Amino acid sequence: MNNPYIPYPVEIEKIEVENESRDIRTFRFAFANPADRAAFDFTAGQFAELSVLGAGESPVGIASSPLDRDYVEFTVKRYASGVVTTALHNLQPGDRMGIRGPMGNGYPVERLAGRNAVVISGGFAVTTLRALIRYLLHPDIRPTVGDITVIYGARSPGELCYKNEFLDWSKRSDIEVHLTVDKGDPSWKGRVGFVPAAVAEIAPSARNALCFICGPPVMLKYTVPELTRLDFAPEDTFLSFEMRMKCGIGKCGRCNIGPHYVCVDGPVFSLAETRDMPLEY
Amino acid sequence: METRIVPQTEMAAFVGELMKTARVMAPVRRDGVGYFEWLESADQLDATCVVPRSSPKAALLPRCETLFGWRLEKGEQRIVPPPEPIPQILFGLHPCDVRAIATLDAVFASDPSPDRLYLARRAVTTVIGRGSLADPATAFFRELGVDPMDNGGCDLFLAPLDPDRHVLEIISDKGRALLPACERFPKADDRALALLADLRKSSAAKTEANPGLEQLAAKLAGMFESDLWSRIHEHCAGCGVCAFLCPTCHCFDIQEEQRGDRGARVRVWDTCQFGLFTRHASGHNPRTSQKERLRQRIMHKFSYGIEKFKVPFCVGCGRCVGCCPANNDLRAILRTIRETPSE
Repeated sequence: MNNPYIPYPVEIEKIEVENESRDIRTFRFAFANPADRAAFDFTAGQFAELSVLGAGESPVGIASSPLDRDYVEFTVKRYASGVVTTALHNLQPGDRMGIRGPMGNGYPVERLAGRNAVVISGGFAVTTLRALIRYLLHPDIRPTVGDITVIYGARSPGELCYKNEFLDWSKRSDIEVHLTVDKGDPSWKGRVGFVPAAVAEIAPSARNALCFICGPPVMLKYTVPELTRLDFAPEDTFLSFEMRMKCGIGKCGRCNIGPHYVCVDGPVFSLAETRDMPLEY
Repeated sequence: METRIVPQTEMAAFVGELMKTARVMAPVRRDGVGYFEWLESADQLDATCVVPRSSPKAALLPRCETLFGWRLEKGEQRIVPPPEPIPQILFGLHPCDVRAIATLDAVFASDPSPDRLYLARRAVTTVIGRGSLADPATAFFRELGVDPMDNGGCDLFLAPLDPDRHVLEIISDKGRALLPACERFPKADDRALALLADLRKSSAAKTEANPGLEQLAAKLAGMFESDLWSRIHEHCAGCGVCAFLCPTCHCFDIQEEQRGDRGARVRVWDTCQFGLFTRHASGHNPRTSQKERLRQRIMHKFSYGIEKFKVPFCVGCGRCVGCCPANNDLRAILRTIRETPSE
């Protein structure tokens, strides 16, 4: 019997502290059984339940690319009330835990063939978009898509996730990276300002483009009108949702927005789809 | 179809025979109230109870169920699979409770990840329905198109002829496997079968043939912002008894149990009526008050369930009507919804 609640055993290979507040860490996992990595076949934008025995499970977006074949990465923010995220943050490289997934639908990467990608993100919500960017930059994939434009913002320079990776990408010619911070510090030479303002100023072209956007509700609220002004079609603009989840497989009944179960039908929805959804998220 | 006559006085003896083949859940009576429970002896059976207060869903979705266990062995984590389910018979289910099993089946068998724990238990479950000629006061299953003489979804069905006799219908392979327990009863004669046909005809005539559930689902989908919700939730204490007694409510929580170097991940009943149900770790909660939670309950039952799983998440058993401490009446809510003009 294939019990859908039993996680794949994994070992923590590496832990990276992502921010100054030290409450966001990226965990790199190796599957204990190599065959499980093959079974864990995913698309950027999908998520999984991270399982710590004795603490529980937490649904987290996959932060590594599907083409990072040897490992998977998840970036986890620790909340004071989060039993699982706190337990996770207390683990060390070499510790064993579990992963159950992949779950959800992922970004419609197949629609990107020959088209441009505009990626907009704020704060810690960047994780699955980082997976998407890594995927698009893979030597096998990069030639199949057009221009890639990334706008990523955080509260302060110290809160930018994957900072070195973004700085490396910003030196490349095949991707345009704009980083912004709400408030700079003496070391920050880059852009200062909120993400919606940066989007308005940079004004990425909607021509032949799909837009992917992840961020806190307030960022979405002010960024979506800018995208509309720039003529991004609601059918070509994609958001990813977060809801409290348990089973992750459309059974336990808690993550629905209207008739859509975020764990199975989402977490990625087009802006057009979200306009038919009740405002209950 | 093979049929037998089971005298009412033989019902406990019949259940006694069944208990030799599998564990049996059936109506029992305690302090004057009927409940579905696992029998320890056949004489516990209450052969007159129509819709017991608790539903038989616990037989398929136990109130607390181990998804898997684990233990540490020399620092290594070992997963311990849950025990295989054992054969079980659900005896004396009203057709509305049988219909509720079809709802659970639709949810737990759904793609992309069928719930194999549920399906394994379902596969070893035999359903023995029992029809009824008198509807309980709070029930409204006829309104939803459930006929209390319908044997659909049953492996065996006890169709009442009069207070003293049932026709036992042997319907499926699982039902035929219980033939040895049925052979003590005489075959039903033509007169009995003709009487049953008449009773079925008059029961069907009293049952709504077109309950209009798809139309109700579509109408509700447009009523998310209706002021109805701010009116009806004021009667609701958010206690969740409706969901725990409901034969179709299946929402669950997953919790951890640990004792020293061993533990288990367990599934327990939960309900959308509780504030914690949707509260994120960040503190954000999409359903902050009972208004949103009660709306979710009604929407899930009569709109989302039908849209997503093609089955209503309510069978009209009336348990929630009879047991609500605040006298909330789902029948009245449904009437209000049906009478609200479409926008």
